[in-house]
Amino acid sequence: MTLELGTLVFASLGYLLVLFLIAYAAERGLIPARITQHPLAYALALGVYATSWSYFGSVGYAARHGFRYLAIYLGATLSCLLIPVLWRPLLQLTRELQLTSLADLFAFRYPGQATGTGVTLVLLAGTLPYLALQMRAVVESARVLVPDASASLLGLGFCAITIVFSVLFGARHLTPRERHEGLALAIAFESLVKLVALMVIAGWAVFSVFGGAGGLQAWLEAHPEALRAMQEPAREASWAPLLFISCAAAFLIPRQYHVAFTESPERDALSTATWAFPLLLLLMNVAVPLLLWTGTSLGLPGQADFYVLAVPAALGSPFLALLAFLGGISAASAMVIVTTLSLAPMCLTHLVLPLGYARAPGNLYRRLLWARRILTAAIVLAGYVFYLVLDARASGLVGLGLVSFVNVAQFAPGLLGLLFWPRATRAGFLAGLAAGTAAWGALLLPPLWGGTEPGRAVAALAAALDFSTAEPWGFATFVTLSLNTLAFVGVSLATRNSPEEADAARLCAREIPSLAAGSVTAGSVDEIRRQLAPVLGEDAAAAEWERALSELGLSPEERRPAELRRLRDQLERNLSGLLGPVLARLAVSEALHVDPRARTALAEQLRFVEERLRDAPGIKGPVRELEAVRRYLQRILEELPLGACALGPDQDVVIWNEALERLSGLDSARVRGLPLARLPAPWNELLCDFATGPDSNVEVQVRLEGRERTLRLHRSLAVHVSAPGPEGSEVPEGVVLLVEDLTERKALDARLAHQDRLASVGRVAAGVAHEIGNPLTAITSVAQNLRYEEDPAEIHERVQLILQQAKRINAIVRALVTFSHAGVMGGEEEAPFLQVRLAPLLSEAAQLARLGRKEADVACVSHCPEALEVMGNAQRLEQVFVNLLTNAIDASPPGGRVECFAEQHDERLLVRVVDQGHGIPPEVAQRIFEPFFSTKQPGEGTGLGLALVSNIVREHGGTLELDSQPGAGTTFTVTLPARHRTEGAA
Amino acid sequence: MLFVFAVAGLLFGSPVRLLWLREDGPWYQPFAVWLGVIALGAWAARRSGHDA
Repeated sequence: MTLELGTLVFASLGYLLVLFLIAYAAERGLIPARITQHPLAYALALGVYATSWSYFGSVGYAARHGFRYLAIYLGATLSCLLIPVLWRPLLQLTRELQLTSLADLFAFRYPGQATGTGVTLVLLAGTLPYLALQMRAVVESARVLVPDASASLLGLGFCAITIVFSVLFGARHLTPRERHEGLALAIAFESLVKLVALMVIAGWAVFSVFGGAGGLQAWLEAHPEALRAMQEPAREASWAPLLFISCAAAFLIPRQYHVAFTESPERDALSTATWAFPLLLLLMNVAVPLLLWTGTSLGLPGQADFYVLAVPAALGSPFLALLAFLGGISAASAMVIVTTLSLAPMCLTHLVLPLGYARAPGNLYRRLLWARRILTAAIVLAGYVFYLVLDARASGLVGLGLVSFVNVAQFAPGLLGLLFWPRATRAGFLAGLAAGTAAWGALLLPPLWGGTEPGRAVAALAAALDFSTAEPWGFATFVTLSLNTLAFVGVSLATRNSPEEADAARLCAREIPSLAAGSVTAGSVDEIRRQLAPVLGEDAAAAEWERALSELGLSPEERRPAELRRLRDQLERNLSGLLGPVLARLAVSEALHVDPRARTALAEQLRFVEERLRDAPGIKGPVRELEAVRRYLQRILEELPLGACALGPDQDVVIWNEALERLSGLDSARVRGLPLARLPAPWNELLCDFATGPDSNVEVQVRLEGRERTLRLHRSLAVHVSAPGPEGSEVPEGVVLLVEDLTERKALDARLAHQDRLASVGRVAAGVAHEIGNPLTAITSVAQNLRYEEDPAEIHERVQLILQQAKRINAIVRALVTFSHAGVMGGEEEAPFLQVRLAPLLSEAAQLARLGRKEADVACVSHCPEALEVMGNAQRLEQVFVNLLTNAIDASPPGGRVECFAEQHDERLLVRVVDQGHGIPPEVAQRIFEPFFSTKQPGEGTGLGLALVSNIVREHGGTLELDSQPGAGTTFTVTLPARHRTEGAA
Repeated sequence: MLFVFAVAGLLFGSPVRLLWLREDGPWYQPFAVWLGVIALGAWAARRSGHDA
């Protein structure tokens, strides 16, 4: 049975149209993310591993080597069991560092353009046979159904369709960093089509030819040689080379790397892939022996490679033949599309851009996009050319595929070194790759063109090692990997890592990297954008700048050196996904210079440690305890009710606690790492001045948010003793500033003082009323009676009485005025302070006090050294002591003794007036200095005496203290400065 | 997971495979062994706690 070419073309175009629609719907978001991002969709997309080699070639391979064909898929299963050790770390690296291809990955770990270029060329060389395999499969499968179809037309048509699809859905985004949702889903759909086609055809064939599973079993029992042909070759030959190269190929061949890492969904899908991807391969491979035995029982002529097509054709089912053909188209097109899409950016970043293409004028993104499109087409066409020049007799489909697998396996030693051996060097990697690839080229490429048989020495060696000459790839695998590994290890041990390489090695080995040293010379994010523009162009620089800012959550006003350094590193990471790691590093280094001598801010070091500890899974032992202590101390600082700001040695803010956040309105995340001088006003000046000023404790008035605030600032220097013992010097490590907001407390104090003043005014008013009331009553009474008095003598006497009472009122008023005008005595100007000898002053005061209380039988004695002198007003000081001594005499019992002692104590003179009276109860002592407070009988005192004494002593810069116990006498202590201000000024 | 890998490596890559390729074995025996390894891998992946 044959089909029309038009039918095949029409069906192929229809199928590809369905693919277009699926990809388009996914790109437009018409298919929900729960489907496009589903782990099973990811596992199905990994099924791109099964190409037309698996679809068509496995039957042919099984016919020759029995169950050994399974090794290719069992190797992939083994690879999936290494997901936690190999795949997951690689996925983390590619995501974090935006390494979109295998060449990027190796160029990052073994830095240098030679690495990227070498890896790309080797992959390109290894992939062309594989692309040719797909072309051959498509052309030959079409010719099974349409024998007279033109091979060139079929091949070119297939190339054209895959190029269009790749460009439309694979080179769609401006940058290769974004996931192609549509492409990934279309590839998953293609895997599903392959699986369904194989299973339906195999199932239908078994039922059609054998009548079902029982019939098949009966046929196998009748033809034991068929099953033996499957088992015997598999028992005899070695599986190790096939298992190894397929295990490596399952994630290293360009299309697998692209789907597994570059196009991986955001959610974790690797665990599902552990079983779903091998299960997909298993289901596809179950069909292989069924198709082989069906074809054998039908006695089909030609290669077993195309039994998938030949069986339905022989059984006269055009629909299933067409389905089989579409499954083949599906397998081939998926491989070609994904392979070219993974190779094109690699060729661009490692072959084209190093030639200076990135520096051409115009929009960088657009140029890169078009370059990728052109390269995509070029790679597909190169595969076609390779197919044309292949010797059709040279190798079967599987043979072509294995040539590629052995090529890709050359990256296995380098990859293991990348993940697990930080000592591996770039020179070692390049040496190993060169040795392995050279041997691969020598052993496996010539037979593809019908080249000469291997030399006698090679054949002898292969025979000695028990490798079959019929399977050159087995021996080639052993030789290439041996040479590769020896050169890699040997040269790595003989050479040393550069510092850049050592950093990359630590990152790739998942060791905690050290903090990047140095800071960028640019002072702001805007300056970074301006410096980037000459290298990337205005548009690309602005776009990359905005993207990095958004990813880091930085503001365009950011000026912190540590944040600027982070921005630079993020830009380099992002550009790595666009230009490759080597060019990205070069571009960023050229545009954004780093001062390597600049010390890393303490705040940045702290954050670095915090982030590492947070990300470290399951820290144990002392580190865990230390982390707990650190968190505890940090919490205490954060929750301190005082504002706390810790500064590093360079005066950068390390800690800005919550209380200070509330007070200043500045977010800690925004302030940390900022030099003190760059804080927003008024904090910059306020804290800068205080941190460097002489005082360690000051009270300042600041205007915050339109409100006047009183702040008390405390400062403490953090020092580190450089060495133990007396010879250790103190090295300043930073400063701690405490900010106490006194505004509320000051306001409360003012309110209390105001209330106290009001109460005092009330008491004064009551005292005045009381003191003036008595004489006023007397005057009123005398004046009323005066109207009826006619005797002049009596009138004169009464007028004298009125005058006497009026004088008393006048005396009270004058005393009040004197008290209320501090520094002014009876309206006179303040008298200057002079040198006053204390001894005569105290004697005179004692004499005056005795005279005022002649009737009291109390001795009044002064003990004062002659030399004591004080600066002051002699009259007012005398009034102080007269008042104190008079009070003491009044309080003393008859026969008592009042003594006055004077002495100098340091810079102060102490004068104590001591009596043996009844003492003053505490409740009275609290109010004794208040105006008009008196314990004397009405008319005996004004209540202003001690208040006046207190005022005068204060005027002289002294203090007045009271020490009294009820029943044990009272001591008033007047403290006066021995040196007064006028003395200092003289 | 590495334990499963070691078991699978032994089953597929060593002479142990003669057991599931023996002459009197049913034709589907290799697939049954393969399915067993896949199931073990799924179990190990589930235990490792990275399930999607």
